[in-house]
Amino acid sequence: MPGVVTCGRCGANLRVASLPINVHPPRASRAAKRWRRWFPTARYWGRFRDAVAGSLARIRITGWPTHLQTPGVLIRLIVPGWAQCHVGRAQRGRWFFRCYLGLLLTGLLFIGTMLGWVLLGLAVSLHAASVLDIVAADVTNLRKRLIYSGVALVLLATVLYYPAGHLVGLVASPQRFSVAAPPFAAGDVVLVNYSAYAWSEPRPGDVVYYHLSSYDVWLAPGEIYRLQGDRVDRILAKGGQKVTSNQGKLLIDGRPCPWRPINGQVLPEGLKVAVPEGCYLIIPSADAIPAAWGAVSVVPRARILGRVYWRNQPLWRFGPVR
Amino acid sequence: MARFDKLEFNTSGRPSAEPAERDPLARDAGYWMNQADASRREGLYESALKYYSRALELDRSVVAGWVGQVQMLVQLGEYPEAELWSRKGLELFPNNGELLAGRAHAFCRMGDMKQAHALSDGSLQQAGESAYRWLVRGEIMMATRQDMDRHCFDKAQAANPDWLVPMEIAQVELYYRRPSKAWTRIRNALETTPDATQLWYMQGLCQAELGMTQAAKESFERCLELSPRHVATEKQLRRMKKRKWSARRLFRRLLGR
Repeated sequence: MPGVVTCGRCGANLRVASLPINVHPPRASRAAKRWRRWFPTARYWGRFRDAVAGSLARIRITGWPTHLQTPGVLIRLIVPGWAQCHVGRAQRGRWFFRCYLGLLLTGLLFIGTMLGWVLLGLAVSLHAASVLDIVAADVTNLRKRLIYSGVALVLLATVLYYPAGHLVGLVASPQRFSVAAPPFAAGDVVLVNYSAYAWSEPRPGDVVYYHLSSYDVWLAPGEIYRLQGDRVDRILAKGGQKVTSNQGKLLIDGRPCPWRPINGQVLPEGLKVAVPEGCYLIIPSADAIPAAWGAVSVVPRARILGRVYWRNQPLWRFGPVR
Repeated sequence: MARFDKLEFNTSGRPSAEPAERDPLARDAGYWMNQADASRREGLYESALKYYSRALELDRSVVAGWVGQVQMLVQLGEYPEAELWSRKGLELFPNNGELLAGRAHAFCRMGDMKQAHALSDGSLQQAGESAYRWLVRGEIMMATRQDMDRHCFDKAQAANPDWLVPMEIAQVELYYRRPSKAWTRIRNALETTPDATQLWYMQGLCQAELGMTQAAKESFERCLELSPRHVATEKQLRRMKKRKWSARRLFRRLLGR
């Protein structure tokens, strides 16, 4: 009919021919196309969302509005078994959580040893399995499942475990003794708090993990003992104090020192050191070298890496380091 | 010149030229649509897209032009743009079956199968039937690994016996790495249209994908016989000559992709 703007049957605009509209479609740049080809994130996100929706449809969550189901479940994937409990598979969820907790705690108990790393790896794998149990419940193809499990592991490692490990490592980083350094035996594991001196200064009496700069001790003609590498020992004095030792006694500014090196058997005789400002006196008592105590015992503040506070391994010597 | 309007000339002795050939100003939307179709048949999707746009500049009511633009954007791998453009087309032509199918096609390539399914259902519910709607349906079936893809593709061919349909189906099958299926379809199309350059080119691609290097080379050479300046074929032949050991190919073989 004359004057009618839209088709009464299909709703099409009958004046399209004369409309001032752009008829040139938007185009993707070459870089955008290359980026999409290399990182087809939209495609994989769509597949992931469909897979989750398919799995959720199978396991049927009751009591929740549909639009809240997927985000709610996805957030709960952060704790193994929580999402399963949320969707009504409480038994399975509890088993996931118990096994994960068991592996995690045992792994932390043995941290710093091969067994500890294996147990922690198994805990992460179990977490990935609990994620797969939700997001890929209806994926039966082996190759697809392998890809899903790989993606789940990588995502968990990057999003959860790497940041968490980094944070925990700041206050409890395991250090394993590769050689015996009395009172520590080879294979002992201690925990180091790297952030202990971030806001405060080291104090005499603290057992610290520090880096010893290279120093050669001439024991005999052609026989050199090189002191270098990381050490664990106690701070005996701080900058500005004068330290002397005589007849098995250590004196700080003329008064008896309440502390002994961590290897109490070793105490240098005839030591006379004025500790410079910004430095600390730490006698490397594990190296029972009779010479050059004064030179190797003065440690700059910058070389003190962290505080040693706990012996983790072996279990029969498990406890605080004093 | 109103006084010459009534004059009669004997024009039966000479061939009547196309209006567009006589006068560039007389090139109407139909002319550009034909140009777009010809480019599409030669696999020149960038040119076809330009011709569709020119046709629409002259007449915005040509639905086939909008649909053609969406199809070309999909062929060029610009899926978000194709989705956006089909949405714009649907604002002008609501519930148009072809545009719905185009949007479903774009969503399917972007991996959003839920939307693709819904739009494809909508397109098939619209009045009429077309090869493109069934082609998109078949592609969705193939992407979701359902067995109905062959039935949908056969319906597409039944809806339009043109050789362009089996060729575009073969392209879909190649996209989803089903070279043997694609080759069967291309061979059948070649039996009826052996002079279609693009079909020979597609056959070469299928054979190359199947590891039939010599046969692929022959197909590409046949393609060059028909169209000596076929750039894509020359590129493929150059690539085959330079072909060396490749870690990427080995990886794809190992994974079966």
